[in-house]
Amino acid sequence: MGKIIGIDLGTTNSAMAVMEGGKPEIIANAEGNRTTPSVVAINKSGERLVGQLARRQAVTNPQNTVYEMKRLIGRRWEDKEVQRDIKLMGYEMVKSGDSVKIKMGKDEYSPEELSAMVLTKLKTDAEAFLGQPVTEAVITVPAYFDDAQRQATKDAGKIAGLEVKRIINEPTAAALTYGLDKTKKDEKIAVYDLGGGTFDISILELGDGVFEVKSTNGDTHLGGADFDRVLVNYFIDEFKKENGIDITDDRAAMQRLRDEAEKAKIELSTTNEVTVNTPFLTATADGPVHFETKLTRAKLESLVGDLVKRTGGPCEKAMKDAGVKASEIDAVVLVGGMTRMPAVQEEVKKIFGKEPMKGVNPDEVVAVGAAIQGGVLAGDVKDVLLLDVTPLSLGIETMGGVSTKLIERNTTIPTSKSETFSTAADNQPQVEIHVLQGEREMSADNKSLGRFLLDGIAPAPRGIPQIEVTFNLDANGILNVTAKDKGTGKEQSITIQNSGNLSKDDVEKARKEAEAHAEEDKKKREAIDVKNQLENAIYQAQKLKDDNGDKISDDDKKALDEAIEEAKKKIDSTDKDELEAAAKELTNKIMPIGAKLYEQTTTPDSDKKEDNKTDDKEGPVEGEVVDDDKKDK
Amino acid sequence: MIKDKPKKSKDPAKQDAKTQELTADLQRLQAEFMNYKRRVEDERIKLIQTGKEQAVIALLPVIDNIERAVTHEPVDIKNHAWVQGVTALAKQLDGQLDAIGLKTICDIGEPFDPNRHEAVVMEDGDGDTEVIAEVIQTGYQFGDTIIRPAIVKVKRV
Repeated sequence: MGKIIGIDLGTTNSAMAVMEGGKPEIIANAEGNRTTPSVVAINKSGERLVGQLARRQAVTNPQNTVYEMKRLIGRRWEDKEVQRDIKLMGYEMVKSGDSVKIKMGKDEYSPEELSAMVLTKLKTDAEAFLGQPVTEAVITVPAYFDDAQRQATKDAGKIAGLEVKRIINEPTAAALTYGLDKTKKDEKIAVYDLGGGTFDISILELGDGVFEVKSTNGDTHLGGADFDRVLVNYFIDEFKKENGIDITDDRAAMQRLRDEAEKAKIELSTTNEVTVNTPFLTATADGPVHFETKLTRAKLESLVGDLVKRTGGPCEKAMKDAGVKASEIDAVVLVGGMTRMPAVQEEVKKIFGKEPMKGVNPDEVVAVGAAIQGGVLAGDVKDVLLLDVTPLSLGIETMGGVSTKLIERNTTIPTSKSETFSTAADNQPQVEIHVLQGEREMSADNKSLGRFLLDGIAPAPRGIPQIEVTFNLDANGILNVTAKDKGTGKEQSITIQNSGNLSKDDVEKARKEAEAHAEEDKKKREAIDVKNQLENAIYQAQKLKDDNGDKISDDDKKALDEAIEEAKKKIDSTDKDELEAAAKELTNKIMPIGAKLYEQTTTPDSDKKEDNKTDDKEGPVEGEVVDDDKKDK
Repeated sequence: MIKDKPKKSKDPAKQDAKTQELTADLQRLQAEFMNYKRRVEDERIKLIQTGKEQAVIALLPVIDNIERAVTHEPVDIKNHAWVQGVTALAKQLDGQLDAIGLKTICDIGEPFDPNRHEAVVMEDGDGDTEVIAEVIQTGYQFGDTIIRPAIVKVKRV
């Protein structure tokens, strides 16, 4: 079964989303935009244009550019909405039986066919995005749509080659996005939708997981475009006051003012003041004229205050029709770009007496809800399939008591991870795998989950044996750790049952502790790294002497011994700088002796891995990373 | 007295159905993951380009105004060294933008193409061909990607 996409087929813009890995995701169109204008056109050469392209050519081709067909879909010719729109729309409508057809190019189209053109583009773009055919969809419609309008929307889907699995109400979709269907009790929900061109208020009642629309109201001609217009007019007046120039006939200047108005409006949702700066806005005989003005949020709010207040009446009516008081509304959901404006949110709070729900992009909240409904229908949304994450990092102890993480915290499970380690001393017969949980740098500070030995490692210089350690964490949080000697094939493992069995408080405590000690832990770890460096230098010096006893002069041998002795004195120091200096000094002393050796021998020694670190401890020693380039340290 | 333990029903048909369902879920998830990986890789490549584009888009208002400043060069101080310097500076900016692959869309006289142009004014004429009469705001493209269409006045010829 393929994906069921969710489509918000809007009056001015449409959006679509899909469930992916149990989460809804907005699908960008071919142009890379998250919404697509609901506009179609046929140009002079008979080519069909949809979306942004259709909108860009609208003024050149108004008779053959159709927009807002949602206002006509499923309606009869006699409907008063249709009769009013005949006068408002730039395209020609004709009566066809009982219903409406629209002239575009040489042909006449039903609103369903025109909506289908938008849906076809969405379908094609979704297929490109998902890399698979899309044949099924959930489409949203306004709550006030009657049966005919719903059926017509379904037909539009069919024409576009989509099987419409369900038509759902826009406010219901928005409520689904906020998971309001998951609440156990019966709730009353208000959905306040102030979009680009229309305002809708719906009162829903939830019972047994089913939403019932109790009432709807609104204003079919109130939206963001009206807000922009008010602001542009203000700019025109300001410019006239300052310069005495009426700019309304200057198309280029007007275009810039419109862009600036929209930008300022959006910015003032997050800041308190913006500077509108439009140099060279126009030119007179005296030269260029600039326009610069400061606009505060308070000023904007006073300009659009009336528009915001106009939404109050429909809200009151809707509540009255539903027979509920504002105090009985349990949740308020915001839909539409204009609800980002703080003044609008304030008004909503005033009307319903409670903070509205925010968090999801209000332009996308309906499409997301449709996708969730699609996911439920496709069987994608199942509670049992919810994936968990591991709350804390898991790792093993490595040389110097350092914790090396294999699985980072917040990794989605099930998961597995392998890494190759090695011995830390020559001829080391066994390694101990100490499994740790936690965020701290030092193993002693983390929780020990268990430990085991892998023995029977064939005698070899340090760093040569390859011990592959594999962490396998299953969906239930059961951790299996296996260590395998790649040389002998011997392996040992341990299973830890409750690696994920932590309370929320435990996890939070562990995380906070790690944060609090981050600096101190880092220093400790650095000191150990430097100490390991020094030990490595001592090991190399010793090895150089032992391997080449007959080729090194007695003087050099003596110098080496002295240098090694000197370095060994420093090994217990806890001062990072001192350890670093000692390691550097020793390396400096070895280098000229090594260089002499190379001069003597024409055939270089085997390319044995010699860049490993030494350790004079006995017995089992924690693993040491072999493939250094895979890790930081 | 010993009470018979109720036997757990192990309906094989039910088990089979469950296995099939889970296998289907797994396959779908795997397919989804493969598709997701492919898309993320595509997006990563695109993102590098988009990063450049976003930086230029943020600068476009300034670039526009520099262009306007040069267009409105005052006649009376045309030969002033400072004015000439500013003109040279604008040219230098053009050169640099060209070097990073940014091209202007300023197609006066060319046929109208909504892929490249956004029409805001229409001047009626007798002909059938729609051409660009005036560029109100220069458009920009990066390679083949239009990052901002030119805002134009269109006429029929």
